[in-house]
Amino acid sequence: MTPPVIQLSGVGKQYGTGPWALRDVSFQVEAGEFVAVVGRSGAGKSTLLRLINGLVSPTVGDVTVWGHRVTHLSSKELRALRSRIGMIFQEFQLVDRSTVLANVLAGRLGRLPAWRGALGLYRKEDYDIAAAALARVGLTELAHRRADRLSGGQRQRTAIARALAQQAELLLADEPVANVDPATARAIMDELKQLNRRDGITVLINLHAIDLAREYADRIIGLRDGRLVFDGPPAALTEAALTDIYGPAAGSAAPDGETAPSPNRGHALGTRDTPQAECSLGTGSPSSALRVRAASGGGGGS
Amino acid sequence: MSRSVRPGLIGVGLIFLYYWSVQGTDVSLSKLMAGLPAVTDLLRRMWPPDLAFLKRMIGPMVETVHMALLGTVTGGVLAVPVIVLAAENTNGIRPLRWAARAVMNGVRTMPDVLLAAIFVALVGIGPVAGVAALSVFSFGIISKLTFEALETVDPRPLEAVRAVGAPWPAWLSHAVVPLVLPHFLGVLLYMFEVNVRVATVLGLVGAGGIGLWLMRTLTFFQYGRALAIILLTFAVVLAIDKMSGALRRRLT
Repeated sequence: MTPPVIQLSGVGKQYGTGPWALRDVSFQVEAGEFVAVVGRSGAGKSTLLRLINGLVSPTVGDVTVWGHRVTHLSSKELRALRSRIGMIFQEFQLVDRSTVLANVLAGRLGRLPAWRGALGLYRKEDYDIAAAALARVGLTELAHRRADRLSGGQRQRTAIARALAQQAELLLADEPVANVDPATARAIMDELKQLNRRDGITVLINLHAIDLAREYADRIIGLRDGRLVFDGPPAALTEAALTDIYGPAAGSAAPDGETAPSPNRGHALGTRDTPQAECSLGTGSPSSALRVRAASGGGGGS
Repeated sequence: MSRSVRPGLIGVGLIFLYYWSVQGTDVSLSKLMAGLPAVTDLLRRMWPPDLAFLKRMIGPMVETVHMALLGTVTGGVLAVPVIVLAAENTNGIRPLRWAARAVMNGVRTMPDVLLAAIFVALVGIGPVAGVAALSVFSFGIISKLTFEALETVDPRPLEAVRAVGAPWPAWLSHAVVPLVLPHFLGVLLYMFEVNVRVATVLGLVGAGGIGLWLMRTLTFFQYGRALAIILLTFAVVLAIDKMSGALRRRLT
């Protein structure tokens, strides 16, 4: 029997002496699943993702990926594990001064001998794989453009190509569509869904747009204050469940999310380039937080 | 965190220190004024500059620029490992970080001319001492300025390249180097500008360059020649500052 792709048992994380970012979280993800993690800002979603590729170590509990306990790996084994896990981020996290191609080729660094990587001596196959990845996301034409000259959507597609160049079997996505316009958000979500369906890549994605999570994910995990409060298919995400995740006042706002599944509907709140605005609004009342959240994934800037 | 100090308090302190320094050095405006006639006298004796002598000074001037260049590049190369060891985002081992910072802070306590005098004593009179002094001097400043820039670099691309499983050397060359290279080159160019100026005076302690000739002509009261050297130095320093400054502005 093959082990699950991801298994968390009783995981807790405390940064320094601060509050616990995660408390007693347990779940497992099987190969080929598309799992969305939802919750408010600060619910522990980013921490959860970073535990899986060892960028963050758990304070208590066990994180196991493909049967390897992440905390018990040597640095070499951890690098080997990371090379199989693609990661994309809300802020894209490209090396801005490097070209698109250089950023995508960086995805090969985990598979190259250290000296080759250090000197940038990629092999022919690395270039082939990078070129295929760029073609896949439709960026072949922009291969030699500097990353800081790209639009948000192009930047995120570059980041996806970087993960593709890794030939990743698992993809961790941390709010990948929060910084792009709604139409681009759909295109990126479609791309991720296709990677999942066609290439069989397991996807674990943090989303704050509840409607996108409902639409794309096979399964939704809800976090609140670092605790797992929901784990089930989108159909089971009732108003009561939303209240569990987002807090009491969010319940009244839930229909907004439910009745507005069309992401292309016009909204006054465009979210491109304004992630901070959404965050500051999010700290207001929980209901407005959810409405803005729904808008950020579903609303078109107008 | 330390408590903040009121700007007014600092102002009062500065005024007091200034007064104290005037008392200590016995400097006064009237004394400066008394020296004015001597200045016009010196200028009259310097004029006209000895332009025939200028040709003979091109060699020493080029040597001065060479000293600055060698010192800057050598200091820059020596600085690289110390920069990587000193920055928190590239070196997680605290004692090593402290050691690297101690080295760069220690080196920076030594003034350029003092370093030159020391190297003249060690390797003898000539440009070798000057290059050695400029290398050490440049090392201190380049490493300090670049490691501070390195620590403020955007951590997010660094995290992303770590997440693909890149080994440390590959991570350095693909994530850290592209992000910090413009800062580093900017610091190198700035250092070159400073070093050209410093190199012109190192000759005063025997460490090569055009300063040696300036001192020599002044000692022998060859004021026309001294003025020629001063004008040449002025032109070269200005030209290099302009070129280097233009290059630095394009580094983004």
